[in-house]
Amino acid sequence: MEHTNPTCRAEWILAALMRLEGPLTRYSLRLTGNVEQARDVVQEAFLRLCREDPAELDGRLDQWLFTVCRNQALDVRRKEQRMTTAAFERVEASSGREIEPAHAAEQSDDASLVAALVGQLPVNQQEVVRLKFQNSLSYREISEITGLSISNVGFLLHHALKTLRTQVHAQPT
Amino acid sequence: MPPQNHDFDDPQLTAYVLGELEPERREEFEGRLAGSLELQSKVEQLRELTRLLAVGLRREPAPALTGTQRAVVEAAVRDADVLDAVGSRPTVPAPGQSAPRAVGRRLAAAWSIGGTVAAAGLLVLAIEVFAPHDRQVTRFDSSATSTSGPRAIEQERLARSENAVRLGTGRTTERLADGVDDMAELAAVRHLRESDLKRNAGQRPGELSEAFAESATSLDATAVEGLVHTAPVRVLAGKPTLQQPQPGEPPQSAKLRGLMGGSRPLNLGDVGHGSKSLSSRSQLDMVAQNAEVQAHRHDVVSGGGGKTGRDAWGERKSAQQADRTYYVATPKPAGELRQEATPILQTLKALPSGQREAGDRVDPARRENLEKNRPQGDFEHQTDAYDQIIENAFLPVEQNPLSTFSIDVDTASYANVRRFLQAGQLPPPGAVRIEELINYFTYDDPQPQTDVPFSANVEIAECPWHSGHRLMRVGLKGREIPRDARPVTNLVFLLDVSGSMQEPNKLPLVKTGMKLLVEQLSENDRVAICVYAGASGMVLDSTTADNKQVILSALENLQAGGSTNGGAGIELAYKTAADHFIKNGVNRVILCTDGDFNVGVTSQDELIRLVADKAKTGVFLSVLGFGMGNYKDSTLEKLADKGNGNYGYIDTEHEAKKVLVDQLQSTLVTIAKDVKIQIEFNPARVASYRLIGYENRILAAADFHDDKKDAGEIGAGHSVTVLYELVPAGAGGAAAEHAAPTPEPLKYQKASVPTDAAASNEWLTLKLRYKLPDADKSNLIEQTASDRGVKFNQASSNLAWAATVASFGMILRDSQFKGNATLAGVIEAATAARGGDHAGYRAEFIELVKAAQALMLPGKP
Repeated sequence: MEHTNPTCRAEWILAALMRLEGPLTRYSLRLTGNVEQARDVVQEAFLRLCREDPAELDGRLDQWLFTVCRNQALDVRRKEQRMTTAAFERVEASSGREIEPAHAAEQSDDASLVAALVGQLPVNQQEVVRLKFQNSLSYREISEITGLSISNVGFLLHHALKTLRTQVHAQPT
Repeated sequence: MPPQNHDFDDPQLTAYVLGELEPERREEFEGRLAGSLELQSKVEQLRELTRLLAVGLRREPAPALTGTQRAVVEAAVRDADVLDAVGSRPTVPAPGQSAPRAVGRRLAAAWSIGGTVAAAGLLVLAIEVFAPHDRQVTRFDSSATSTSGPRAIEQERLARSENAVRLGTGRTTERLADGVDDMAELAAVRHLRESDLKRNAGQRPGELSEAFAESATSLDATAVEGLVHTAPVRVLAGKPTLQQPQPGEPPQSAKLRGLMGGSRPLNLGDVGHGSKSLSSRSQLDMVAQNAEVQAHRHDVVSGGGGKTGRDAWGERKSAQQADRTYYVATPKPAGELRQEATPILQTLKALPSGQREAGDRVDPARRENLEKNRPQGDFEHQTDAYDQIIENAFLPVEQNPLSTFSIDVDTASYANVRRFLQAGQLPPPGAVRIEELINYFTYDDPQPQTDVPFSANVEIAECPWHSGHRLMRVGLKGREIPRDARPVTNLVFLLDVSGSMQEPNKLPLVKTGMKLLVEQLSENDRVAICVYAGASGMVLDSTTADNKQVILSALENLQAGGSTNGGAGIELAYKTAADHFIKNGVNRVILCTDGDFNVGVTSQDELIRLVADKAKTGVFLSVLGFGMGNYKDSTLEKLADKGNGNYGYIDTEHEAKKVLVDQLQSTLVTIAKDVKIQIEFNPARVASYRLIGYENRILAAADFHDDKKDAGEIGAGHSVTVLYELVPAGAGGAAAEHAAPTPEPLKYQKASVPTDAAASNEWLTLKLRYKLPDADKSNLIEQTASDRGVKFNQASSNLAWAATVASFGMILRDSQFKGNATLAGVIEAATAARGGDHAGYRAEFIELVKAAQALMLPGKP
């Protein structure tokens, strides 16, 4: 490939960082249960990205980053043996997030309700649901990231949606 | 009648809404969609749910890296760049090969709209989310970014990050409400955000508004759909054209209400060319009553009203959607509503019911007594369909020296007979297939010693029900395969979940049976579950068997409801099996049903042809029949027969265990296929013969050598037993009672002249043809046998047991050939011949005979 442009490369990584640091941290947070660890995981993923061949990752950069984060996050979790759910509440509190009045109003709407219901799904369904709807990844990408088969991903999503639909209808309107 | 809810259980619906349906299935689905307003409404509801998920989940906190972490990464990037600069590092993909260039172009086009740095930033953002697959959006066109790029990046970052953000060397403490990256939310928070953006970017409001309106508009049309990868009939959800939203219109709420309240507006009317908008449930219902939705395919590009200035992403649209179609609802007179498929049920009802045996010579008094305890009354009105069986008669060897038939390892008739007897009824004669009764039991014939996949064993002894006649047993024993040596298995369960399966001895038993089977599988095996009812669908795509919990929970969640579409279900199942085909493995569709196919493939013949075609591709079919009533015995057996598979009837958990656990190897692993038997009798020794059972397996003599003729299969470890009743040559008196009358001598021919071999002691030559499971050419084996004058009480337990079961079958059928067989005699002989009987099957048989005895007692009411 004759096209060697360092600026492009820097831009490529920085742009990915900008675009995905939030989503990746959010995803890793679910797995580690600890925001500092999640950040570490994401930082490490981007450091690894600097050593990767961009051409190799062409078209599957997001998938690659999510996969790296997942593997590391699971490593961390294995080491720490933390409980995801218990820790997550702490994270919500510690994220230092101020809720604006207008935003608070939104929190009570249907979308937030549905998102809250997601939290009641089995953990494996939660993960694919978040990868799908939070990060717009395809079945194939989710399959690569999680190591589940594509059909399994579809199965989990199908069941998650079925459950959610039932629960949404069960909510008082 | 409330609308069926099972469509939400259809995984295809989910896959469709998420844009993950394969083109072929998508087309099929769209076909159904176009014809069903109900389905359209479900698609729409599900789409709304996915939209809510996208909005709601993106509100979850997404913390950015800390300043220090960011600095570390940036330093690493600089280091990488230095290396790049000296040419020792890999580079970014060349523009022109991939997404970046396209995005660059889009950016350049978008550039002309806003003309300001801040607007560019917003548009970058918009474009990126519109094109969720084009993830390398940020590889900007260098000319555009040379001066303004960094600020565009900064702007985007502002929009994305919810915490205080550090960017490059600069720092900003300005914050946007989180989730501007969240396209679905974008419009909803438009008013909220605009002021923030203005403040952040320091832009003139007009320019910003324009830029924002641009993104908000696009959002309305396609952005949300992009988030959930929605595909086709999106027309129903949003407007394909790119109109500006009405100022102040709350973008999400109306649709949310629709989902929540169950009365969502279905904007059918927004589709296409100025047809009316349907915004309420009642209007929708009216359409459902008065109109047929017809599918019209409109090319996206010609049908859409794309405006200039949208070229930036119009390009993406056409590329991604060129193969998509829109469906347009056109009102049609209700009279034109009709279902295309002819219910196969009708076909089945036209079959002979076989409740009565024709031509049997039965003492009228006995007949009356038998009739009394035959299923009657309400039972008569049920649709259990058994083809009439006309028993094979004695054939003179001189005219019919060859007896040719296909083996049959089905055992369903036994379980079916048991069902009747245990319910206190005598089975209808058509339900009694003697060969299936005999083959229900395993026999201890020796394992094959050569490389032939089965051993063949011939024994001749005294016939217990007719003095002077001889009884010949041919026993085939398939090679046993150790459990851990079973080939890798690719199973597709095709489960009937139609309303008729609701009874406890149907779907719940199916689940129990399938769970037992799944427990036997190992991690390399695969399982998929398809269902059929009103619509066919996949519940579980092919999943490796180490995910037992996934498979089991999929089974657990099955519910019965709806009518049956067996044809489409079978096709889906075969497709799934083919998709995951394992070479040199076991590839099998296992159909579990009560036999009610009523939509789809239009005739039994067509269904059977389909199954036969698929068997040629290496995907075999096993059929497990469940339940009572509505039980299409004849259809199921034919399907299994043509599908190179076996057919079992499961009425209890015990039976499920027998078929799916104890005999799993033979159920799944075929060791020889198209097994045909041809016996040539020596006229010097045998005057006439009668093949017991196998009535529907008889082949023409010439078919024996014809490899194109389908025949039965033998599974690993399977026992196949064949009985012949023989009338020895020269036997007179009682022995000749059933001997076929000798025809008048021929005028133009002399009777055939015996060969030298006829003078030998041989009674017959047994010829067997079989194919290995993956072979097209058959192998032939031959052996001879002769009578050693063995008395019945000296015969092997194999022959004795088979003869006993045959006697019972003949009595149940009230066969003209049953001779002096009595149930008491059967019980006595069975007790003597039961042997080890580890699983208790033979003991159960004796109980059944006793039950039949009680039912047949004269004078019983």
